[in-house]
Amino acid sequence: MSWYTLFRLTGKWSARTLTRMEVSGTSNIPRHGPFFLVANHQSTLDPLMVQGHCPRRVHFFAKSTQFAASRAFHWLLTNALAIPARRYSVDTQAVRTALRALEQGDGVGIYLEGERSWDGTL
Amino acid sequence: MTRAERPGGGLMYSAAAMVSWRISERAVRYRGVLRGFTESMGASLRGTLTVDREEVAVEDGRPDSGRWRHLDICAVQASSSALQLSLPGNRLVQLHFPDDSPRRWEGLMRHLITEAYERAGQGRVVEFQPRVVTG
Repeated sequence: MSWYTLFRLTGKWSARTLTRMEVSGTSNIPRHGPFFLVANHQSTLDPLMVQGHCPRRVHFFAKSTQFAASRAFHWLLTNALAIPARRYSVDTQAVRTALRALEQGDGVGIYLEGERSWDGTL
Repeated sequence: MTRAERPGGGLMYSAAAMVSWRISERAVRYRGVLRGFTESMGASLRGTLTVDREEVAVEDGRPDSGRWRHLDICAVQASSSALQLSLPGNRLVQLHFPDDSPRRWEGLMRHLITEAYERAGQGRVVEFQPRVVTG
């Protein structure tokens, strides 16, 4: 079992047992082939919850500073298939990595707001 | 954030900040495959950020300190609890404010940059990251 699978199962289990979260729309995720998963971002737990309930492998963009926060975060994000995106420059490597994930038939996840909501609004 | 009258007229804003500069970038790999890069920041030192309608100054006693015109700033963004400024020469400075909000500073910087571009007749700024772009 890969770390990604373990994280996914942990996210799914914790959401089911510790919260009253409702999940809908997973049937919109294609069974095969590349896809984009677009989400809003209100909580630090969003990656765990969204990836946990996505039946397919999905690589989410994450800001590069998160990887530099600590060794533990670096390891966690890397194994959760996060793609580091440098927000202070045009990050062509992040785009290349996302394209490679799509070519391999995986999903790419984007928080379109570009950051976590500061006040809960979209 | 402290607000004061500038000697030549106009307002000047300043705040104490912990200042760190990017010293390098580190590759992020997963199972040997390159995924991207993350910045390695140098030591964080106590310093000051000062802005007025013309320029921004970062002072922390190191050679990297300096002043830059708003028109020369490449990008401005808040990143978690810090304000990041991309400066000419591919430099990046990160400022943590012990007593202030990076979001507030991001808003002020963006407002002053927008005004500077309009005064210079260079159009309206429509994006501040990953590059300052005019529409």
